[in-house]
Amino acid sequence: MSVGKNIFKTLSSLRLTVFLLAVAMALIFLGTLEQVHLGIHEVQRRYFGTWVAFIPWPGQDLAHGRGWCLILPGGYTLGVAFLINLICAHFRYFKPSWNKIGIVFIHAGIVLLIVSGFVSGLTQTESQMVLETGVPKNYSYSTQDNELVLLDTTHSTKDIVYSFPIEMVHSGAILEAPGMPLKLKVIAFYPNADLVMRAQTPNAPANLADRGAGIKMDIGVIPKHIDYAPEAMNTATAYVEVIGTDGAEGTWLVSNLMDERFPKQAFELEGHSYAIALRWKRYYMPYAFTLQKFTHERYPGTEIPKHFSSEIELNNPTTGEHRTVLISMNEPLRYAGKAFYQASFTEGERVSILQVVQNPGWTLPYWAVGLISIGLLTHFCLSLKRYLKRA
Amino acid sequence: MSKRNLAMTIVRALPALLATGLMSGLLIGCKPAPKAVVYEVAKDPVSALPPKPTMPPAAPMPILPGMAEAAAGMERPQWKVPISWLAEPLDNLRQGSWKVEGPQNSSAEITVLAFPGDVGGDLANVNRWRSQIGLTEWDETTYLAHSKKMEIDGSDCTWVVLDEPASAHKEAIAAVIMPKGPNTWFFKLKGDRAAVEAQLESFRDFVLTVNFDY
Repeated sequence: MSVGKNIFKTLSSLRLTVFLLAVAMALIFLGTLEQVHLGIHEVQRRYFGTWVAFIPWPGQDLAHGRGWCLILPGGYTLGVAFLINLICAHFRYFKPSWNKIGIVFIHAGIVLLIVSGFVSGLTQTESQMVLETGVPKNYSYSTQDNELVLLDTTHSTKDIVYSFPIEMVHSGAILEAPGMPLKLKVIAFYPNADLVMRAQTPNAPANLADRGAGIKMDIGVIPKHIDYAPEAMNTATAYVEVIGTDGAEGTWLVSNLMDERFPKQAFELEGHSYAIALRWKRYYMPYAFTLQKFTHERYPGTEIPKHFSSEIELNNPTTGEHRTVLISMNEPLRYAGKAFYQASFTEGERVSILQVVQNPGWTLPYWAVGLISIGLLTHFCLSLKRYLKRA
Repeated sequence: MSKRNLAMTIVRALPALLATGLMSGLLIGCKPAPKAVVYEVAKDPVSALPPKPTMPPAAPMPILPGMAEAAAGMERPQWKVPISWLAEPLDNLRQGSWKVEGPQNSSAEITVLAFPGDVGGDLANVNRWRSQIGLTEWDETTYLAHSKKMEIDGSDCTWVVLDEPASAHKEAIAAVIMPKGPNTWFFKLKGDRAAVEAQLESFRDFVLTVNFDY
């Protein structure tokens, strides 16, 4: 038997299917156990949204970069392998015949389902939109990812945003962007840290900043391990040096903890006004939402929510749309490729929080299930017809 | 399974594993590396603030370690609270907190906070309050034209009212910023416009009773 036939036979074998299913089960089982330490998002990223999964040996602290581990194929590798196995098996065993047209649909549906998993894994973004009553908002922000931004605020009507994903921010990195007249040098980066007022904290580390809020408030940075608990907010923090054409202009302390209560991180340089920040990654939209009214109903005599909804004014200058929409529990708004779900609200019921999901492949699972259903139904009808004929 | 069969199975499986690895490698190579993004956004009262509030609201508002201790250790003044104000629970930062009802089912709250330093300066704080009730930022000139100076307990304080009935927003704020030694005290009346307007006199009388030298 030729090598090519051997490969094809192996790739199309049921043994490979069973092996892959066993590995998938092990991965799901171990990933579920690891959620205790890493939380659901980190496990999703390390076990399933990856090609190779490094499973820590019991008692090992792999989360912080040390220890023995078991190496298994990650979710992406398993998906590709399943796909190859299914396609090869189809061509190996399938004999063209109208009686087996249902099988074609079923296989096509399963392939589409696997592909839709890839599309979602690689392209889906989730973020939150916080709407205060009466205040227009045109962006949402991630609750997982951060970005380092330099804003050119010179213009009276617009800001130019130079955004660097947090993956690019590490100690010693020099950050440049097309058209950005300055360079940013990351002096130090801490994925999680405690920010303390040095005057109140004996033995606090030295302050590396010489400009901005860090020096004005004399803030000290105490690095700490990333906290993977689902509700934990890690304080990503960095010391960033701004380099102009005449050399270093100063070092700023930036952190996603530093909000409007802190002194502005703004400066003037070479005829431009700038601001610098490390913040939760933002997703801007060419339209704005304004919360008109938030309604929260409870079951009588209790504090248990029965129904909550947001009446929102949608204003899209690019299409001229100006209308009122209602988003409520289980009734999301699908608009311009995004789905807006009613997620939460704050006390006082003046602020509504929407979960914003963008998934270019969100219709694929529906098509896949449709194909599988048609395939099953067709196969059942054809089998029934054959049975009745024999009878 | 004999050793020979096992070896044969492994040999037969190798091409499949290699093919899978190759395809995985190709797909990894297709995945773009993180890179800088440049875009423009319209300047608005929200995005113009450089480090806009970034904490997801589901999480409790962070308090800088040391700030609460510093606030708790500050010398507290005496004041006379109007009888109609209902006391609310205090937290690490609030030195005083009351709730008040106004006409047409309106309500407002009065808070007293103190921080070390100037917390970014008067204009930054006033603009932060303006953004809280949906108003656009003031520049230095507009701020100076709309704020008033008043003396409270020997300190040169700033009085400001953020109330624009012509706007679509239904809330208003009245506030006093009081520098006292190395710290700054913030007295704020915030809520529905009707309640804030009804309580303006009482609020002014209240801040005038603040006394550190008792």
